[in-house]
Amino acid sequence: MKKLKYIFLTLSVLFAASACEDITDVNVDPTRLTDVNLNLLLPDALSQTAYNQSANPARMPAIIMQHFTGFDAQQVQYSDYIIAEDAFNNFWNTGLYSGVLRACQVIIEKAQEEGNTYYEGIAKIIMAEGYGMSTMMFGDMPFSEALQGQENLKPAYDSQEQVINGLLAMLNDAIGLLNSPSGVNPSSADLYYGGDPEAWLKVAHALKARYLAQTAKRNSGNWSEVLKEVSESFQSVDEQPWFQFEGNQIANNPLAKFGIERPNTLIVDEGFAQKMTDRADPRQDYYMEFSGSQWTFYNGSNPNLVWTQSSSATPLISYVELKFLEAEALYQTGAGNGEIQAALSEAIQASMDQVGISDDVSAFVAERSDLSGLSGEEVLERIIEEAYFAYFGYAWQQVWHNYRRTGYPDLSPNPDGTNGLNPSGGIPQRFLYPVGEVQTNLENVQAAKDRQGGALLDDPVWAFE
Amino acid sequence: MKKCSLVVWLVLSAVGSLLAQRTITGTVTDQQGEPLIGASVLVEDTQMGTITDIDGRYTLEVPETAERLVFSYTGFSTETVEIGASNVIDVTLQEGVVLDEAIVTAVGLESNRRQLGYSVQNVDADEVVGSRETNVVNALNGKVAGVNITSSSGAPGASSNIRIRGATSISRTNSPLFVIDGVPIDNSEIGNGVGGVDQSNRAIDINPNDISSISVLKGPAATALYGVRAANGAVIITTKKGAEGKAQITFNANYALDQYNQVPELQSAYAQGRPSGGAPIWRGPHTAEGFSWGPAISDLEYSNDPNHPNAPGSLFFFEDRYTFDPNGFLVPSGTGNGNPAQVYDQYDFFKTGNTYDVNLQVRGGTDRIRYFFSGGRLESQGIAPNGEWARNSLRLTTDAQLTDKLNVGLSANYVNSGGFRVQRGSNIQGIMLGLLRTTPTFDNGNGKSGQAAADDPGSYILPSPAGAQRSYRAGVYDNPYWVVNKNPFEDNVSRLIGYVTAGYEFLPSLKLNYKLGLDQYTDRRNWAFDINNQLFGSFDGAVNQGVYTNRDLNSDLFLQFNQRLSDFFSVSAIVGHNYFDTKYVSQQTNGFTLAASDFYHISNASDIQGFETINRKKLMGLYGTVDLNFGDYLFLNLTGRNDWSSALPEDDNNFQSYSASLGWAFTEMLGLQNNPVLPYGKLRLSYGKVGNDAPIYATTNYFNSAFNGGDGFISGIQYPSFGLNAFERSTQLGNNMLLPESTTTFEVGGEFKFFRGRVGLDVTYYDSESRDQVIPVQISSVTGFTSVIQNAGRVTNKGWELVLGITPVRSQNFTWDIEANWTTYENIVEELAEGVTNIFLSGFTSTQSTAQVGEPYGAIWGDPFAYNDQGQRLIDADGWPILGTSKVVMGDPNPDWFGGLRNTFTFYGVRVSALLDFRKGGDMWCGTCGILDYFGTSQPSGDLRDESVVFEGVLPDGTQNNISVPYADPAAGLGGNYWIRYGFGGISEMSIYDTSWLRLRELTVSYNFPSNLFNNIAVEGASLTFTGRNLWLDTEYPGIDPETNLTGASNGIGLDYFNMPNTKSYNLGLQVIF
Repeated sequence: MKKLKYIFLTLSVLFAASACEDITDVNVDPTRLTDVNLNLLLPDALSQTAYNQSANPARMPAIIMQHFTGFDAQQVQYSDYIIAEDAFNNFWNTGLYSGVLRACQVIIEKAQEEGNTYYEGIAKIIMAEGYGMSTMMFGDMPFSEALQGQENLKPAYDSQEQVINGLLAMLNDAIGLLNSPSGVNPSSADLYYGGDPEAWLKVAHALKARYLAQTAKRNSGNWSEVLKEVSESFQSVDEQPWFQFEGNQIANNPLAKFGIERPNTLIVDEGFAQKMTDRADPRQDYYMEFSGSQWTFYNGSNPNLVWTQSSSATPLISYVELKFLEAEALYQTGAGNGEIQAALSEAIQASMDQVGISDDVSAFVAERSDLSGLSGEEVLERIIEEAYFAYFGYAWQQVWHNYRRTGYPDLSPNPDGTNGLNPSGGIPQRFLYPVGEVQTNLENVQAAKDRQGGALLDDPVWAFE
Repeated sequence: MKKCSLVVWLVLSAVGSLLAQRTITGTVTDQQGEPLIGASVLVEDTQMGTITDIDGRYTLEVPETAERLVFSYTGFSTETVEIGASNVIDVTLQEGVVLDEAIVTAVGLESNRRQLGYSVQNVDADEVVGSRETNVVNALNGKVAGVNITSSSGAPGASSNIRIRGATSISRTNSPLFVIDGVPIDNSEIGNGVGGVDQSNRAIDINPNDISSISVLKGPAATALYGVRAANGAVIITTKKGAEGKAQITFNANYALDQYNQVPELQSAYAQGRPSGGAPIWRGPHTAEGFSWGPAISDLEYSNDPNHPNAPGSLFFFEDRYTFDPNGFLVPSGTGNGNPAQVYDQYDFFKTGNTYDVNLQVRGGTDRIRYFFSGGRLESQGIAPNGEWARNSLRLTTDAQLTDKLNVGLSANYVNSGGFRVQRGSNIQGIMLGLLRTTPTFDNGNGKSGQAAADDPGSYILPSPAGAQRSYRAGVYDNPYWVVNKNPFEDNVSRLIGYVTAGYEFLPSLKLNYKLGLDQYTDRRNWAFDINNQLFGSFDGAVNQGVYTNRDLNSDLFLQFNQRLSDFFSVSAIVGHNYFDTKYVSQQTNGFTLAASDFYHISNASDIQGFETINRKKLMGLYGTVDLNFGDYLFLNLTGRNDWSSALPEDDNNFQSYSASLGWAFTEMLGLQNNPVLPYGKLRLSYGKVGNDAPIYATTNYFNSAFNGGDGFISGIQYPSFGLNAFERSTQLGNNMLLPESTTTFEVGGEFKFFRGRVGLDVTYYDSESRDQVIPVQISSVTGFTSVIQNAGRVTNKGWELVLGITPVRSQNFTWDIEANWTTYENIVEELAEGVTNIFLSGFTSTQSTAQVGEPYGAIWGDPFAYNDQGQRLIDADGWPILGTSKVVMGDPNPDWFGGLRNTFTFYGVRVSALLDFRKGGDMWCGTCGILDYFGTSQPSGDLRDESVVFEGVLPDGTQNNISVPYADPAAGLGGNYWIRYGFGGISEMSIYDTSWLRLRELTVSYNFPSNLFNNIAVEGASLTFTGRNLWLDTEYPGIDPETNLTGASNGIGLDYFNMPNTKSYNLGLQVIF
């Protein structure tokens, strides 16, 4: 019996002692990395950009600009301009700052350490686009104090003017870096161009053209620079930066995702569909189909709907947009109608090419780009109106910017659109700062609101004041 | 049932080994010589026993080896009598106060209630099993002061949320530690969110029939021995053990019928459609119309005429009939076939569910070896067709005295549980979502209902277009019958809980114990969404499989010292070592784009993603406790523990817990034991500190597999994609300076017995504070991170707990007992991290349960109307309330107070017991209500749509609003409709309701067959019991039974969004003892 006692004692003490091993080693997550290479970081930044472009930052302007209308659920309230602080909370957090901008910041820091200017240049272009699209939605944005982690938990907001100057400088930086690329080429990690620095240079110029034009209301001198940037950018639809989504349910186009995952909550605005019918616009069948009771933008089994298939590609910025900017810049710099008409005609034709119309639509293009008999504002109105029909599906932000900048096309606000968030009832001029900022960075966001007149939906952003 | 055959065989072989017997008879009387009926007579240390008959007489077969009999009767002293040579033993019991009650406290130690300096409440086996709850957590509901239990729904296997004295932690679990026979077990739940299915909390694996008692340790003084695992109190479960004597076999069979107990009322007067051109028009299922803002149903009739102006296109005809409804599409009366439009009751989807529960237990032993064996199967068919959950449980516990000094024990409990769960909550597959939004003119079952409709594809698949889904809006929301067939969710859990233990007695006063406990389970889940050929979309289907394994290893080595040093003073002490090692591995495979319908296997998917999570933690503790007993009336306990946790920063990973408690039985000290008014009184005082360590891996920054998101309406893009892989820096900022959370509690209380013990009162007040909250503090995402784990914040909790027991009548044939408990507490979030005012706990972007500075824990936060500084609502010049621009706190989900009241009547062999459960206050967001108003299917949206209203508030000019506006004037279109104009489901403020309730939680009627019935057969006793669960509910809450929580056992509370309804049940049980 003594034996038993000792066996028991020995066993229990042994086990207890073995339990005294170092316990700290288990607090390392075996399923995650603590450092990764640049080529494994870049795809995330690029696809997040493409995702943002076709997700709610696209759908909301499409609703406001009356390409779409809410048919059910939250989309109905958006159509009534009840677009509250929570509408863009997810975008701001995980799409933007802790999304694409974070990804670019990590890439830039690492690329600078390694002296790789391919990655640094591309990341700066992508980051500039991220700031550009978002400042046009919200106005003043954190910029100079952003993305500093623990160093600055309460980043202040810069004025929209500073943000835009900053992103233009960033694009200039990128141009400098990509003109003399060094380090390992990103090749297949570059989902747009497979690591072609020349192609990215053209994207940088295109984006400069866009943001110079969209702030030209504040500085009319921008228009001549727009012309210069357009000339240094890509020269065809094929050359533009296409992002190719996949035909599955994981990496498919966000517009298709919306059609699949939120069926019948958002449809094509009846008025817009009617306008396309009235114009006999050849693009109508590529934009929408009549389902028996309403116009829908999504039908997975109708491959004609080119922008909303799961595998639909989307351009970061399009050749169509460059030609429209060129037409407008020519108009703004006093060029003659003939010169403007050439650019406009090219823009509309490129839009036809972009959706894959192979039929001869030259008569339609000629008619819509015919400026004879038009003068002054009428020319501008025609350019913007044609852009309104050409940007469907991939550049809704630009439609909204154009509208806020020029007042074209002529749209009537929703008569049910007056509410506490949009007291004057007009077509929204911006989006509210997200509730997350109100919860975590109140003083700074409040200061930004105060200096922008409260920053409700009907307060214009600086660029369009 | 097949599984029972093995059990039966085992039992029969055990019966064969009966030992030599002798028969003892006698009478049990009170001081006046009156016989005591139903007094208990037991062979000491065994379960062999009987009860006295109407004359106070008993007859008991006892083994030759039996030494003593124990006689007891409620409200009387307990007598232990030596069995001598005589076969007749008569006993007189003294009426008086029962002071001795064994309570199992921390680390499986047994203590006498009178010696404790802190509040503990015991729930005995009858109360646990008698409730007929599947989930052991629910079995405590209404019975323990300070314990708030919320079952998430009535779905089979649904989880239940338990909080002891409110919440202590903002982001860590607030669930108490569950301990079975000294072994801490896992009670987590995996995957309860706002959508999906109701998951189980893992304590549901415990078979209530195996439980001998449960004690609930509420404060740190009671739980300090568990250190950093004990901040939320502990539920200490003791299972049944073997006992010396012949094999006693207990057979239990129960059968219950379940029905939903409350559902929201729906309108039945208006058809599908929406206003167009100023008048409501019918828009049928083929248009995918969501709204029921159509014409009055009484103005509509059917037509199948394809040439009718309202006829849908030929696509929607099958064999000359409208494909969605063979009766036809709806047209204005007078233009169709004269058959008036019909109205359907959507709730006929639900059927009567049923549950059977069969258990067999065998216990017995010799003076050296004792054993307890049990096997049970419970199977529950839910009220939703196809929903089910089952649990098979086998348990064997043995202990053996190997030598005079060495004893060993072993217990193993194998559980297999799981079922078929139905989709609920915020997802377009949700049963209630699809059902309640359905327009009254659409018959989901297509002529059938309940299980019959679920079994007939004709109810959910259209004949034309072939294969498309038949639902009221053409598959935008799934037909519930489709969901229960085409969106299966099955889970299967295999679990082993057990321990080996040994004890060696060096001296009668010194004993060494060792116990190694294991809790290991594997939870396998398969769920799928079939290819959904809806008309307006083409969801390509998905299959998913998940394997979740958890292994908890717990080792305790402790030395126990127990010595009476003088007549006046005795001491007992323990020093111990604890090691806890947990490993959780989750492996999930998601497959998309299915090739074939009705084939729910991963091989059917075209695109497959795999995920793995591995969570490991080790914890080591050294502990000690000392109990000093002065003269059996003053008791002092001191406890301390030091923990080392792997989750804490490496160079500072320890944490101290401690407690001190004092119990003073002043009546004993003053010699008042025989005082008729106050024979017993004890005061308690305690103070303690316990902790809650950090989440694992929170000290470092990581890179995760890349994911693109940020939309809120659509899914994101998960890498690998585009033919390559990618990573992104985690949005959570690591922190290598983390400290554990600590909770300190001061508690004072007293126990009193009045009037010879007829009235007992236990009062407790506590004041607790939890500091250094480990919070993933949401930080401005502008920093490049969305959260940082920080020590910040303070939560306080103060409360009163009362337990009252009264025996108004105690006579020979009739006894009436009253037991009541009452709880109130205030659980406030006092501080959060600097600059943080609000932390999300659960819910939606629009309405959520939050932690906010100065507000009760879980405060509901959402969108309000606009108010001026005087608190008056602002009304616009057109008479409509103005929308507020920022979210505010609009509800407190915590009850003001709650409690239970049980009345038990015993009359001869019949026992009737009723447990009333009451709750005052506590708000809930009825998201369901707001949405049904929006879609026009709710009762109010039917009753009020032609009415007008003058909203309470002030106009822009400051005067009282006097403008009458119509709720839903068709001329104003959808945008002018009150329930639509404020957005989808209205704003949060429109759907906040009080949840106060009074319910009959349990009603039990049981009958013990007289023992003389069984004189000639091998049966020792039998009883028949009817149990009604949740039979009656009185509440103003307009949704389902307000005892519900959308996110199960999560920290967030007070949200109801198409939750599955709760149930009431009628149960009949038979128990036979052989």
